[in-house]
Amino acid sequence: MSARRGIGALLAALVGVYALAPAHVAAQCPASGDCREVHANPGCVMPECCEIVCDIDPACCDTTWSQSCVDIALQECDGINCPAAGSCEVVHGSPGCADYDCCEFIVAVDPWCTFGAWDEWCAAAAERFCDVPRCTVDTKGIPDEAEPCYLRLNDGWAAAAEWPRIDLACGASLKGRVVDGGPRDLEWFALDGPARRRVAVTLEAEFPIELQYMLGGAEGPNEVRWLSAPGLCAGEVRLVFLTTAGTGTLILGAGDANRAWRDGIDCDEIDPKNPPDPADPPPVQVVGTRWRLRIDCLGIADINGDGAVDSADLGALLSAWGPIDPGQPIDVLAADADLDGDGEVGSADLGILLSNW
Amino acid sequence: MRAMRERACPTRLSVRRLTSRALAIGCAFAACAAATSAEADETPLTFASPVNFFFPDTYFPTMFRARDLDGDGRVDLAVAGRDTEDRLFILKGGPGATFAVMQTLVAENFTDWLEFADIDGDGAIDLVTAWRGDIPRLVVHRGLGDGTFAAAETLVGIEPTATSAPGMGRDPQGIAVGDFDGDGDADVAVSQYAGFCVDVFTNNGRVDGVQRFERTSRVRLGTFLGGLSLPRMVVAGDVDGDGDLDLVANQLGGGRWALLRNESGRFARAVEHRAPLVDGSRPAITSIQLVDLDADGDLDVALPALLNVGEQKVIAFMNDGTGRFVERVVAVGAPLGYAFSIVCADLDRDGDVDAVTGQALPGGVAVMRRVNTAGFELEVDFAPSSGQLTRHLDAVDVDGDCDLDLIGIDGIGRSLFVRRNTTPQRTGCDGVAGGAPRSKDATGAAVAVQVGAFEAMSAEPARFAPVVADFNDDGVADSCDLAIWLASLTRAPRIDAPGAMPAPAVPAARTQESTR
Repeated sequence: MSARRGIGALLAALVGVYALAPAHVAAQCPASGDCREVHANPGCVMPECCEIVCDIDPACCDTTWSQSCVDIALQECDGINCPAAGSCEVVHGSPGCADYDCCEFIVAVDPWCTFGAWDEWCAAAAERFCDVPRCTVDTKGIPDEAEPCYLRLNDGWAAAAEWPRIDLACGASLKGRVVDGGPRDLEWFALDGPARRRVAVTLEAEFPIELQYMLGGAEGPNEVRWLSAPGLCAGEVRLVFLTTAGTGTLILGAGDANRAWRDGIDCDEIDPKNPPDPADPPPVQVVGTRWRLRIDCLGIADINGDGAVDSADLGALLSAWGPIDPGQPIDVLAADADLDGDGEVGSADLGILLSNW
Repeated sequence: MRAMRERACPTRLSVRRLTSRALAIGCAFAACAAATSAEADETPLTFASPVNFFFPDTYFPTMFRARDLDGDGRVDLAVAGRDTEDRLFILKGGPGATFAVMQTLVAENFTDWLEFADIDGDGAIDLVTAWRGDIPRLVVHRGLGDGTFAAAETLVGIEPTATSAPGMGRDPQGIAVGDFDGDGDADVAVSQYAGFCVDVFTNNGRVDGVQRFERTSRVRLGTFLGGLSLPRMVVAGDVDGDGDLDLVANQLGGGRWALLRNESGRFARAVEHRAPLVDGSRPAITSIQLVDLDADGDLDVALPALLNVGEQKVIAFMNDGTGRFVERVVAVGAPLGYAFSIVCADLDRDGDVDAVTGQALPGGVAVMRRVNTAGFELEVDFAPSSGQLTRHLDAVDVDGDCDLDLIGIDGIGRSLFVRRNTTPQRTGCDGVAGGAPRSKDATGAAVAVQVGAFEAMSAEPARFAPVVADFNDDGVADSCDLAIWLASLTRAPRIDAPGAMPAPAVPAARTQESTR
């Protein structure tokens, strides 16, 4: 039966159906004691479940957590598992984890963690994000992409519908917001060109950055050359890399190295064509939504992106000398010294560098 | 038949080669002319009425693999399924294309896929499956050499144990087995439906009585999508001709399939191919097969194209020999239902590969004959409907007469069906080149077969209407969402569910085999 529950949970997650806690807050919630086991004191350890049960049967928070309270919990609290046994940073075979705040944060952005096992994705996210202070990105004076968060205007061919991409000139900056939803909000920046070129992207965001460089047009084929996930509130990130001739796109979203974030950063602007129902819960934003980005165009041989082709770039090229292993993911933080794009850093690249000295 | 062939040429004209409109028009005319002059391609493909095997009440089969497990010269089957009683069935082949239960294995949670392979190198065929559910696992049932299998051993789980490796993803659906790292043993690739990735687990041999596996590659799919990619099947083959096994995987949510090239045993990234627009609609890709469609010696990709409106299609992506698929070809498909599964094989032994798709709502198959070898043009010969959802298909010589019969799974109808090939074989069968036309019913007795005609539609219509919402979270409800919904079906929804139709009574004439 557990598989059916898990699959049902997945389907629920896919269609965005979640159990909602009642507004009533019982004084005894949370309290000690497993919500799914009888115990003498009123209330139980899971705040959300405790509130649901006590809203249905106030005696559960007034006298004792009886069998009838357990029955209600088993009926009504499916998928509520914070806090639960197990360290948040360690994989374990049951949903939820012991640190309530961390558990709530992780299940808000990855609902699987409260339905299935606390797997490596849950544990890795807990280790990476739970103790990170939130941040604010200063976007004053930067042009806005002017995309209300309930619209998808700059999302390329991320879904069945096709949208434009942002064409940002060299040296230009832009700010905007990223939220979840169906589809999740992405920002697609066109990096097309007739020849290989070097760009530097400077980026800061209030959410965990998922940045990827993808080749190919709307009809495909498409190949994500690299995906970088600097983390949550990682400060200003600068990536220097070579683009490929043809159609290329830089795609900004929220996520980590393991998975995209599709929950936990709701849009908080009201769509006049589709206003929220008064009964809808308020939007949830477990992290901030703002980002700012700048693109600079560099000389192809300016490997370190400092504005000059000099001995530092020569050193970077010589350090990268040899064939590039196609069986390894591309690390965009490493020096991109394959100037001619032939899959090897060699004498041809050295020639290009020297001719651009 | 004459009327059908006369209709066939205009149908073939609809073949679209998206790389060049001019080439499309030219090829279509040329192929039409070639087909009408090629006698080899004019004999319709015909199949006998199905022989059904019904599973117990709680068992909803998902796919199977066929092999003579017990050495008696007949094809046996291992059948994966979704079962609240945690079972997996090994079926023994019998006379008249019948099957009976040979062994019932314990398979905790649901199992959508299985493969045969000698995992432990002892010379006996083992059975590899992936268990879905809250605690997903990759397991092996070691072969005992007599056609039966031992209890499951976990190879990979979500956390390390003394006997298994960590690193399993979320909701494993498809698996592919092959020697990916070239060290001589069988490795396993798994498509993680809710993990949106393909994992490759390398076999490190049997140490102290424990089969050691290690995850050596994980490739995320559809990272650039606003919605969910939801990879379903993963298939292995040397796509780029470099001598090692590459992987392809279809994405139910993304409407794409991905090629993962093997680079010295490692898989680092995917090249994702999109289904072309068909009459303004973007089809879903529900299954995938690697097969040499144009007889040029490399593996092409054949796909059933599920469209939520209109006639279904078959799509071919043609390989240029290096793993680049620059040509997409749309061919005719099933006239009824939603295309879900596919098998391409030479069903009349005329030297080219024909195609069969399995449909949903109603279930059934559409048998399509190849009308030329170089291109990919098909003509529908036979499209009977039966059951609800033909989730899986394969072409296997069940009756030992040298031609390929069809075995299919009706996932919702709890049944497996065999349709024996009654097509006159062009070469090689019965020791007679050009093969005398043979007609036979389910028991092998000679019967009259209405050559080339569609079977009458089943008396058992679809039990319910499709329910489509934005399941892949990409902002629209379309063919991909319909595919996701169909794939999720285990049993028919309650008949009072939104969009549902009342369930008709099962016809009394339906054949039912014993499951005991």
